[in-house]
Amino acid sequence: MSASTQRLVPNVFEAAVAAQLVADGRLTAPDVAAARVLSDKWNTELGETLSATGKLSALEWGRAVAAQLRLRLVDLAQEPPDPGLIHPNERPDYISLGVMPWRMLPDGAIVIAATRPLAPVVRAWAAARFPGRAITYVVTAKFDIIWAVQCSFDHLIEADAREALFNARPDLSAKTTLTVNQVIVTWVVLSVVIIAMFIRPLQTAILISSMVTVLYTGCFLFRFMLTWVGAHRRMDVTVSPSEVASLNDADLPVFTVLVPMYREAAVLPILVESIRRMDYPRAKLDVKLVLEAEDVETIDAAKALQAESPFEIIRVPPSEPKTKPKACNYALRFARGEYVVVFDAEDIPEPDQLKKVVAVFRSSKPNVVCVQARLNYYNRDDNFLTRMFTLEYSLWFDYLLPGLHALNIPIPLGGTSNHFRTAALLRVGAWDPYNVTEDADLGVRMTQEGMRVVVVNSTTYEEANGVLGSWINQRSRWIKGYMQTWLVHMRNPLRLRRQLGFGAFWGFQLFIGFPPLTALLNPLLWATFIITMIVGPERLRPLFPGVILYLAVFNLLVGNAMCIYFSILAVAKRRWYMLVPWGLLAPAYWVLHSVAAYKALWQLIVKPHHWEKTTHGTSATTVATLAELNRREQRMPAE
Amino acid sequence: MSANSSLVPPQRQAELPRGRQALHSSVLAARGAGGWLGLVVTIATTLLFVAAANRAFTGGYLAPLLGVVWDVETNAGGQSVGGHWLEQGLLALVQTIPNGGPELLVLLTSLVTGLAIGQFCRTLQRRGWPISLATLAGLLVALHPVTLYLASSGQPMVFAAMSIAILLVSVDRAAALSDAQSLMTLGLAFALLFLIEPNALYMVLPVLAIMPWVLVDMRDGISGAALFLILIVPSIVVIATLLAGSLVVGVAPETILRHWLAVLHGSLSEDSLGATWMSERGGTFFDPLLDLLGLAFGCCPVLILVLWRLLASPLFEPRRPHIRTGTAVLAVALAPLAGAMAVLFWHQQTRMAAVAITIAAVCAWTTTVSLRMTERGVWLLALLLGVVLSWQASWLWVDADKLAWRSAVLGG
Repeated sequence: MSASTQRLVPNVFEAAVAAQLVADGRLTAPDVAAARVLSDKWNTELGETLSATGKLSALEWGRAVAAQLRLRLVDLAQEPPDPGLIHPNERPDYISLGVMPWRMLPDGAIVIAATRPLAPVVRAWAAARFPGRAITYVVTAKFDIIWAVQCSFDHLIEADAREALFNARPDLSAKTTLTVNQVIVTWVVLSVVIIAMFIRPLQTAILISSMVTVLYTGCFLFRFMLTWVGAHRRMDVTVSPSEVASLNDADLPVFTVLVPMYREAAVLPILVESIRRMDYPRAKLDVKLVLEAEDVETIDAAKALQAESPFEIIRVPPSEPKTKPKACNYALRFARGEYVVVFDAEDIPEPDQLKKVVAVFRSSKPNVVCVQARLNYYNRDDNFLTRMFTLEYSLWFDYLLPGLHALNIPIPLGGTSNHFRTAALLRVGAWDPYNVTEDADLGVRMTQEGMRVVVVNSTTYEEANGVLGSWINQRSRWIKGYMQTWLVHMRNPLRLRRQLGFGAFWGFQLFIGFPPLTALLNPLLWATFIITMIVGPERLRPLFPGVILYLAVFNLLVGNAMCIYFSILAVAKRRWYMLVPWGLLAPAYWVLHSVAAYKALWQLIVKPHHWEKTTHGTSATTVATLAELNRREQRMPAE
Repeated sequence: MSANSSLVPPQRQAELPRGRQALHSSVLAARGAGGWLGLVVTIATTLLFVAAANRAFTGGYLAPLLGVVWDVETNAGGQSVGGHWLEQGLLALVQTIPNGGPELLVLLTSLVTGLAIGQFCRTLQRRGWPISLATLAGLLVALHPVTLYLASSGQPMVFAAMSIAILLVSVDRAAALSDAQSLMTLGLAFALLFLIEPNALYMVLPVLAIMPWVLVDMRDGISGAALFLILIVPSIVVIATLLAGSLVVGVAPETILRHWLAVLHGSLSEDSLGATWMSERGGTFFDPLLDLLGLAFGCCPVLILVLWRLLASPLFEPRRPHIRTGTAVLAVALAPLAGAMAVLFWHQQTRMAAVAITIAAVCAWTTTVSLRMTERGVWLLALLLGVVLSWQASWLWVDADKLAWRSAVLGG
């Protein structure tokens, strides 16, 4: 259990501070009584509970604590700590304990700024850090500590967030798209193919068509197997409601929630509302709104929300690549939670998700380090794109990922709602800031390290991208990221095969390597089919000898038709039957995939680390929800 | 309405009540049990079928029956095998074996039937049947003259009967669990039937008709249409593949259709012994329905037990009486209904096919219910009666070849 979940401050002292606040008219006695009940239930300190429930700010509580102790309250933004006293290696202590060496007095005594100066762990830390020195305290607020750590070690944290993985394991970083060996192999293969095309064109064409045919058959059979396995209802019940109910709030750990955002001020209220609705002790939430430092608009919007103390703003200093994983890596250095999750700004996780995740972690072996929640869309009925996107996501998260999980194949994590054991995440090097599908890459990396990713039966609802241009951009990023991930992990195929095992290795090829390839190849095959229909099957028959012809026909008819069938079946688990007929239009959606795949390939060559930002807040459903939230916000003062 | 409620639908993931989970739990928990019993019964019944085939073969009665199936390319053979697409594929594989002949077909149908009966016994054991009773049940099914005839004479109907068994088990699973996999299984079982049996449509229609009763999620028009789509798309894929696939390999779709219809209208050929049956009943529905019902009950009196459980289902499944009754209804009515519909449209339907489907359906139903010991005794006695009656029944052995086969096997 992390330090912040323990009640470090004596009850008597808390009561005295609260009484003073009541006497000052800042709180009412019922407020304090209610907070006391919650504190007992959650096993959190009264100050944390009061600030988490919005009764007063962390600063106000700090001011009262300082008054009670007759200590000075310092604003670390105005009076920053002495650089000579702080050390970058102590950052985790500063964050988790809420302490920071502040000044050295002329007599050599050390002044420690602390949010809880009475806490024994704080005093023990100070004594161990400055042995033999006299130590005195000033009081400060939680946000001041974060601010001071950021100001003091900004460049270090930023460099760490950007380069830690590359420095530790350059072979696993996508900073370099192709290694020299990969360039040589690619060049040799292409050269051989081109030469063979001139010398033995027919045989070469037969060889290529055979390979492509077998590849497609493999992909289809693999997808069929995953869908089949994932369709079983056993896959849908990981944590039951009774297991959730049996969790004791007092035993729950601090949970860090990272919300990376960029120019998303509009949808911020949705996220805040969702977090407030979470069935989790609010004082044990450590929510980081991770904002780019130059994104003043979103920072101002976040401040204007005046959210409760669990919500913290982390400003990410500007640097390239400007990617979500880099921002997450940066914010991760401030995480206090035993577990950490990433949500997008417009996400609406089911309220019991965090508890379900805790239940999964507690009932799993230690090597289960990540729990992926299911993702789906709340604006599925907006238009064709959102409907197809919903079908696709339903198949992906409700069938394919559980299938991968059951078959012990690396799970490419979804963009959000992946919950980690914080220590394990840091140990594995966290996200690769140079990979534009850092989550997919992380899932593979964790499996390579002998860690496991599992899927939980809880859904986070997101806003489906319903704008064609934005959809293509988003999809091209995903496909590019899969290409990056495949290239990174195939730098040493033998090692990958050894680390993953035979089944998982081929699962990786079929699930991460081949889909981008098939999206690129599909237009060529469609063209082949059309040509066949125009000139007659006999003209192209020499390219498909013997059994290859039957396999090709099987792929064309059964493979494609069954993939359409999977789209139809996709929403059966959620009983969204209105969407079922739309599955028949899946081929039209595949065309868009291919368009995005070619864009992805181009970007992989010219702008491998460019992050195609998805625009959120465009859905009518989102707009209506925001309007409803605004109305409620405006009504509240009157009430 | 709160902001959130406008966004997030209620959680609709398939989390069934504990009671419904329990319906399949006994079988799932016992998965893996009964493996050796299945193996022993498979070997024993396969040997039985091969021995029967050997007797018929040495008596010279098997060759004409086998030849019809084996001779795919000629007209007669084409009529028999057309529409049996899966068997045709298997046959093509069997025919690639050097020095192979029609006898290989017997080996194939004997082995496949033996495997199915072995699996049946294994499932009964998982359902709590004692080994002795499960073995006896398997042997009685194998000794039923219809089973013995189909398995030991290389008849494609064996595959149709098995696909019916798979279909019924899928119906039961869909009713009990209602998960996506059971819907998928059911859809694929329909498709399998279309690959195996030219009369598949007549078998699929009654099953589809009871789906609104069986599937708890079919609540309104939208869910009904969606679920029907999920169930029938694999069959459409199969049919479209056969037609479009013929185009790609340079065969006109009409040829494929003609091939299919040749079987459906095979009864019209003069030398087909089904013609007698068709000439009497063709174009009518209720007469053949009653005939086939009587035949089914006579050859497989276990149907009385099925009927009893069907009528008394509120006693056994007080909370969800419909769950088990779907399979029971199909076990009783599917074969006669399918047969009567086929006859109505002048499509070939031998009476033996109805019995074969009934036996398969009854076996499938038996694997889906928990029978008490007395009911198991009744089951065995009823099947024994069915076996005895079927060997004697003159209305089953109307065809000269079949009569000759029976004489050879019985040593008459």
